[in-house]
Amino acid sequence: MDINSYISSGILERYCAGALAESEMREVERMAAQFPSIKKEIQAIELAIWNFNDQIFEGPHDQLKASIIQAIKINTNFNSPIIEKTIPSKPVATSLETIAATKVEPPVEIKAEINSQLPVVSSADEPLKNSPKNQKKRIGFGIFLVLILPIILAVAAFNLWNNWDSLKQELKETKKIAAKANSALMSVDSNLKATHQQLDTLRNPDVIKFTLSGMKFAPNAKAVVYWNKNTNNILLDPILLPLEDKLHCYQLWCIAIGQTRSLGTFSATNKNKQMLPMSGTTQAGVFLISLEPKNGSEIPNISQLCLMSK
Amino acid sequence: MKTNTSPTISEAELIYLLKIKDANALAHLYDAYVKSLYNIIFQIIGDEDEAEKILQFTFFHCWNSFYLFDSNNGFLFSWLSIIARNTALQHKKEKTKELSLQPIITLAKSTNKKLIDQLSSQHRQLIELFFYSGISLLSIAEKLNTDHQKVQSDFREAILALRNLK
Repeated sequence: MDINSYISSGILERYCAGALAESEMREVERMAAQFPSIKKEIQAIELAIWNFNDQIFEGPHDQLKASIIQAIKINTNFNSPIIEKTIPSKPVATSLETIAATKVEPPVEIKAEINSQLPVVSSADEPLKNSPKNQKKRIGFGIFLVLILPIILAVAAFNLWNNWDSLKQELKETKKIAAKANSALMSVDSNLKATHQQLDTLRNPDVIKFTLSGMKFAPNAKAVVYWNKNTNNILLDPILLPLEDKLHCYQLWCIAIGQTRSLGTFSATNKNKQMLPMSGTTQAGVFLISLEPKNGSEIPNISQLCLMSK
Repeated sequence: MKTNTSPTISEAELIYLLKIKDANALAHLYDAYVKSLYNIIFQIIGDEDEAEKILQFTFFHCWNSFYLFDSNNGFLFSWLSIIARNTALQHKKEKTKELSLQPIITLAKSTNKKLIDQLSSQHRQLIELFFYSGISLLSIAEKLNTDHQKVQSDFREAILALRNLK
């Protein structure tokens, strides 16, 4: 490797200016670690760019220092220990397995309605005894039935005819209740499927868990981000967030090397308590959730930071 | 690079304090880099209030994601300036929907005429286009109807010129 031609190729200037792709940057850093002359050259370029930008304008006003440091102190864990990422060794949601094993039943109120429509079977009904003592009675009863039964049947048919409309109405109601129960079952089934999918995600050893803790703006807030380092998919579990008003939404951010990316907006009104699929990211560093105007912002408003990963 | 930081602390010490999240690290970091970072942001954004907001976020970003900085291989100012520049350009892109060839604040408006006058107009133009308009060297070559390699070589010369400023 000809170090001088590497230095004069201009790649180090482009490195310091941030004009290289990620892989090229890592390559320059490897070279700098290997060759002290390259490291020295980068430091000289860095110093020149720093010095130039330091002198072209006056810089910000003096009060800004205190307000920036104060804002960061308030909105972050200022003296928190060194950041660590937690990788779950085994699936955390054992309760989801319990859900999977649980028999699915419609909600209690619908079940009660269905039960009220079912015929009640009496345990008091018993078969007639076939003893000789009762034979006369039975013959008399038979004659009685032959004469009286047609009359009873005729009366019953007349009543049935009269009640036809009300029976039709009852049938309609029963059908409605059955449809309601069916839809409830389908919803439970769909929730169960989603839960299974999420459980599969959490069981995946490629998934890294980031626990987000509440900041001063929302101290009790809790959320977890699951990032699949292979597929880059993100699942957000907004465990506890205050409900936002109509003019605002929550926004998830990822701070990775040199970049801050919005991973999308969401609402805290997540009725089914399902995890939310967010935009993917190829790199994961620190995850933030901030309260932003309705359609989201370009950069996070740190005075309204709700949660941050540790 | 001791000259980058306040007189009482070296860059290596600053990196160590940032790694352990020492309470004084942020003040040291601010003192060492605020002017340079603010001016990069201000040149891109052209608005003091917005620039302060982005500067605040740059320090916030640095403080909370410092474990991502590889102190064995990385270079602190390059890392910080890339964060500041990318955040400002992202903000500008969202506002204007596209990056224009014309910088919002040109170097001609600098308060340090003596410094700027030492640069040739070609070097000024390249620095303005790349650093403050956020246009890639390839796009600059296309816009200026010239060869990409020539722009890369001119850019190196422009940076070399910065090293020779007095």
